[in-house]
Amino acid sequence: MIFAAVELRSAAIDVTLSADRATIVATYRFAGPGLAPEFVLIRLPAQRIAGLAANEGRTTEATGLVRITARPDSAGAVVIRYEVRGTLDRIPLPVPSIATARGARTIEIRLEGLAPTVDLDDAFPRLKAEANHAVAVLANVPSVIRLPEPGRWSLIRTIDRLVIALVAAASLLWFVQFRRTRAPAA
Amino acid sequence: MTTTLAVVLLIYFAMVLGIALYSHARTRTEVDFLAAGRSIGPVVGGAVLAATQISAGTVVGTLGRHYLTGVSWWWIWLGVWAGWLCSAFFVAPQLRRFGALTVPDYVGARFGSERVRAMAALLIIVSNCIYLVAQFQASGEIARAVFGVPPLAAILVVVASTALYSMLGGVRSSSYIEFVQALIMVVGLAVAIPVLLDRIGGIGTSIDFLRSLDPRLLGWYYGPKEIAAFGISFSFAIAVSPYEMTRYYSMRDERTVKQAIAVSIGFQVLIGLSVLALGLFTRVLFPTLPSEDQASSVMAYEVLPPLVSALLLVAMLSAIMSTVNSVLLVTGASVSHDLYGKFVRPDATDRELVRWNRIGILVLSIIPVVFALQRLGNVQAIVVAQTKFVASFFFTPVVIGLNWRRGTAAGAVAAMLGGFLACLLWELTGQKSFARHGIDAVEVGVLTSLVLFFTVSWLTKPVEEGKLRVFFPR
Repeated sequence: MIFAAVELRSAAIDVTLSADRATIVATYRFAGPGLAPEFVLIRLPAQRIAGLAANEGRTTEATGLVRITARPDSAGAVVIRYEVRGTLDRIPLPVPSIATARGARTIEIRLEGLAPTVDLDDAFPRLKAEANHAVAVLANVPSVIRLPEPGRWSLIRTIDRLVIALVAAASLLWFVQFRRTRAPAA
Repeated sequence: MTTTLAVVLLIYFAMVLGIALYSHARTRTEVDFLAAGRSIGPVVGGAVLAATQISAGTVVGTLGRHYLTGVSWWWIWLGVWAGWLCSAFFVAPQLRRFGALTVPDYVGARFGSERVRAMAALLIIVSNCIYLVAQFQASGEIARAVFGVPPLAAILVVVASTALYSMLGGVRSSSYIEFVQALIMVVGLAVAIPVLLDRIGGIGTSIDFLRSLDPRLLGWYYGPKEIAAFGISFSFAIAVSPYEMTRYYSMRDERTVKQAIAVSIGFQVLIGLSVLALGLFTRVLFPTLPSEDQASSVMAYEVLPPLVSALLLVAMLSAIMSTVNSVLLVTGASVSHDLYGKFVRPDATDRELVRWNRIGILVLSIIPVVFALQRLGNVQAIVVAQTKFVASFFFTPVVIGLNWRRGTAAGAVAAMLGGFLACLLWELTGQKSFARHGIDAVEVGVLTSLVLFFTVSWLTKPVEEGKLRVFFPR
């Protein structure tokens, strides 16, 4: 699966958020002979996937994921549409079994409908604010989008501050120890 | 993100340069350069042993192997720690008591033969070059995944900076730098786990996903025979690993060596568990990557907060650099101390030996670059191949040689050469049908080496008692 001869050229994943649902339209473009991509869609607690549709697609449900097999059109594209209902702190994304070429950052995720007050630093993948939406550009398709929540305690900021404090404390300790070992005996 | 990474990298390299210059000022003799004046204590020593052990093979290769194959690869650590314990009880105290500067020093003295010393030095150079290929390839993978630059650029930066600090300060500078690296690594990996879990949504979600994706990820991807073969490779190679053993010589005494090994295992337990968790969680977050060798750098760059990400990437690069440094020091010593100083110019001065060591480091750091650019296999596979060779040619003469007084020079030569060739031949032929016969190259190599060592030693004249006294006091 990891060393597939064919490759994922690009992906454009549009996520539109509303009060009770997220609507996802994901377009994948593949290149190479004999394409038969399989997608996996992670199942998250307190969520329901509805209206799942793909080009000539078939779905199989397992405990932790939904498998989707689809046939690309003549241009090598597969479009998958679905809605996520329930708790919307994370949005599952279909990940194809075919990887991108090494290092090529051709996966674009667009999010519309985020509350304007949210802290984008808390999101995964890293989002950049644009006119009326947020965009993330990656080299590989992630299985999940972690949405920032307004007023939520920021894990990312806390960890960054914790690390700065740790480095400062360690440097201070090192300096004190260094001075003690270099000090002349009384 | 790029700015944070650049700042952290700059601070780190400035610190490395500072330590290297400080150590350079305190390095005057060959003992200073190769054994840090025998001044390293148990905590720094333990961190140094761990940092040398935790190489690209771990942060890139092992994490990638967990990403690809799941939990079962973790059992290999038991082999690694068995190797450390074997080293602590049957190898390290005797070697430290002997007080040599290089491993071939010991081999030459134990068997009373310069021929044995030369063969050990040559085989160490060959196996170290294989190991360097894995380290350089890993740095190329990180550079490609994070910066999108060609691997050659990253490899050249790693070679240049590591060769510089190896040449400047020798073992003293590398010991203090590796202590810092080990701390960064443990903190970076440990902090990454809660971040990944926050992204995914918890352990339960991850377990359900992985089990549905491929049941072998949480069960047995490898069969017991394969796990046993990998475990033997790591165990036997770690027990006699030349670049680890050289570190023993820089420690204060035998007691310090044993304490340092215990500290080192503590570091490794933390790092091993973190690498397992991160490999699995990265598979949940990015189920399809172009190569498993990219799992660690993608995880660090795409998922973690900017500062932690920068620190972890620096720790990964520094792990590669510390291993490259250790390997280069051993390889350089084999060239200067064991070949040049013993065979070319036995009356060479300390200054001349240090110069030849530096020339050796420079030349032998360039050769593996050529192979790294060919991508002969994934990082972990190259590390495994190297451990098989080290175990096959070195385990018998070192471990049995240190504990059985009847071993002779001819026996040691036969064991090293026979073990190396048997492993090489099996690797090139029989290994392909492992699933059918279940016998690995390392098992063939070590067995051949053992049989040859005992048989040839029994058939040849014993080593003189006087030469054995330091190894067998009673």
